[in-house]
Amino acid sequence: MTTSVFYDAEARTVDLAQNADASSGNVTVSTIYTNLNTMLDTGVTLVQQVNNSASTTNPNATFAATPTNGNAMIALVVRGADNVASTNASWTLLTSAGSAGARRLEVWWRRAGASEATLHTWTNGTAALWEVTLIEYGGWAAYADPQTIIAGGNLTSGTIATFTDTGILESVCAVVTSGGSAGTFTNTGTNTESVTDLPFTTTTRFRAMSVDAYTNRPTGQTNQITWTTNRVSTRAQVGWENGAQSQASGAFGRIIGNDAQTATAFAGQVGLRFDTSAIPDVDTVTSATMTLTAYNGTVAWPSNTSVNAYSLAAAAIAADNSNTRAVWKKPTEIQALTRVASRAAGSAWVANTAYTWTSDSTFPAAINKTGNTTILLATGDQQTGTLRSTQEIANISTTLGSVHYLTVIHDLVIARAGGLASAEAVSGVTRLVNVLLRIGGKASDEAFGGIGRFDLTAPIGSITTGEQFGGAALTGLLARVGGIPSAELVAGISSITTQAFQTIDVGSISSGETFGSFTIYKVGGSVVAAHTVTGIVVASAPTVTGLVSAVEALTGVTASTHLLQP
Amino acid sequence: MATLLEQWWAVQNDPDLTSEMKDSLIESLRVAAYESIELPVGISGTSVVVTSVTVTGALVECDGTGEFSWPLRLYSPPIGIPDSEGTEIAPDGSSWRTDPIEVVADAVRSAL
Repeated sequence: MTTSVFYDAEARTVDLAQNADASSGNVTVSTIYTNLNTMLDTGVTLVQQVNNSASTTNPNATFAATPTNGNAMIALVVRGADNVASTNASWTLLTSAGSAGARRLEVWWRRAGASEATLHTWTNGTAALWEVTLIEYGGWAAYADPQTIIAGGNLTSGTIATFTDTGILESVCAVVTSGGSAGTFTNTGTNTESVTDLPFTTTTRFRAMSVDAYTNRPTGQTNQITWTTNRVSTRAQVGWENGAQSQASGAFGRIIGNDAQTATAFAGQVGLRFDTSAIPDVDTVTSATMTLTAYNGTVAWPSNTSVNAYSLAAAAIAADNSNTRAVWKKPTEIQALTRVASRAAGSAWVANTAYTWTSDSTFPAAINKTGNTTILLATGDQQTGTLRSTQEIANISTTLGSVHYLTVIHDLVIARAGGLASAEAVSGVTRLVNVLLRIGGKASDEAFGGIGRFDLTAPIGSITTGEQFGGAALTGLLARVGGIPSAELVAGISSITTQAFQTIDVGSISSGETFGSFTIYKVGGSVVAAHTVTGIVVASAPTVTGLVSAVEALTGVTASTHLLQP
Repeated sequence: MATLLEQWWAVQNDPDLTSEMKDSLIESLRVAAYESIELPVGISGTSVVVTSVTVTGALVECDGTGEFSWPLRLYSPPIGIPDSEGTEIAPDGSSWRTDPIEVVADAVRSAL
């Protein structure tokens, strides 16, 4: 038996609550769970966009189609010659910035109502170059309000405008430059599924784009869009986030569980990866336990639901450029997983303290001996889709590779064959590593059929009856077959190598023995000299005791090569 | 003089080190920590007595006596444990203490 301990090689937290990093989202746990498919599968969808530009007062633009009731509308109101603010009581200003006498960028949003207007106008008494872009978003945007991801700000050097953040579902990036030609805007964005250039067709001073991020990017990977311009500029980014990176390293640890259904902070799950490949392939896992350590600050443990571990087999948990969600699972998806361990509601949970989960009988089989064992941590409520009026969360340490670990007890399938009580079949074994197999004490015939190779040193000192090693190619075998008391059959051995000398002590011939085609009969008296039977070399003069009591026939033996004394 | 844990964190967070260099330095610190254990040592609350500790690369292998599935193999173990009264402060602000035998003890207890 061996006890192996594996520390977590990777951890990932995904919190669907949009304001998990304390920003101003409005998405409640109830909204998330009611619209899980829309949030996780549909995402935010770009419905339509339009732009308008002039050098008059009151910037405005008109949608080509009536926006759908409930969809979110984003408006980029920019000015290319001054920094005069615009107003619109029907819209909410998300962020703005500008430079006096040069430029201004404002980002507004509004949720479309029934029979929403297509024309939207901002009030500005100064007649100067302006441009308005209107964008309508649907899907998850119909439920969640957009947030400011990068607040409006001036970039004093005219080189690069970088938009970077994590956990973006969809965002709008906008840049406005000062005066004259805007120079070259180059989108060198990476890690995004698609980028839609928003229409700024009337002037080169403005640029904006809608960025659709990959679904499997809620945390742990930077989304970066870079625009290059040779002029000073003002930029901003707004959009919809999908879980915040700060939860993985912030002030509350890694969150497992849901906030109260009317609250907006937590709907988190955690993935853990353990590299368990060091367990020998041929071993059998007899026990597995998981130990996790509580966060080292303010801690919480659910009062009404358990915190469970589910097997993700060897699935990768890292964020990547794909739409395959690796960690956060819907209730129906969790129900399809195998629970391997749990810890009950109301259990003790003290900061910085390690706790061992109660393993299910399914845990040993979930340990992957050839690679990673990955675990999803979710609450029982998240498995059933239960919403409560109370916060039901646990928070574990963010420390990686030290405080969360798997303890696995495993053993070799065939550790010792010596004491097998009867014939044992060991089939399907393809590889035996470091096996010291003692065959000496086998009580009866044993079959090791199908085993291709033994790296084996085995004393076979006391074979008491016929043993068959059929089909085995024995290499490197040191075997003493000293005391064979009767005829033994060693059939099917294809080669015995590295054995310089094979000595078989036949001892006293007590009955008729067959040596090739000849038969020697016991006779009276003794052989007085060495004799040779054709084809067989007798190492020393055998003694034939007793008297010849009957006619002896030595068929085929040349008389001159031996002498018998009557 | 920085403790072994403080050196450990310094290595982990040094942006100028390659991953290979970090692995090598971490393993050196692990050897220093685990080879400092005075043997034999009993694990409190159990019948287990650890009689040998061998560090090979990232693997720490222990053998001993008592009711336990020997050997105990720790893969890439830490050299300390979180301790609210510890004086070694991790980069995330948590308190620790350098204590390799307690790492072994926790592993033993988790298997019983």
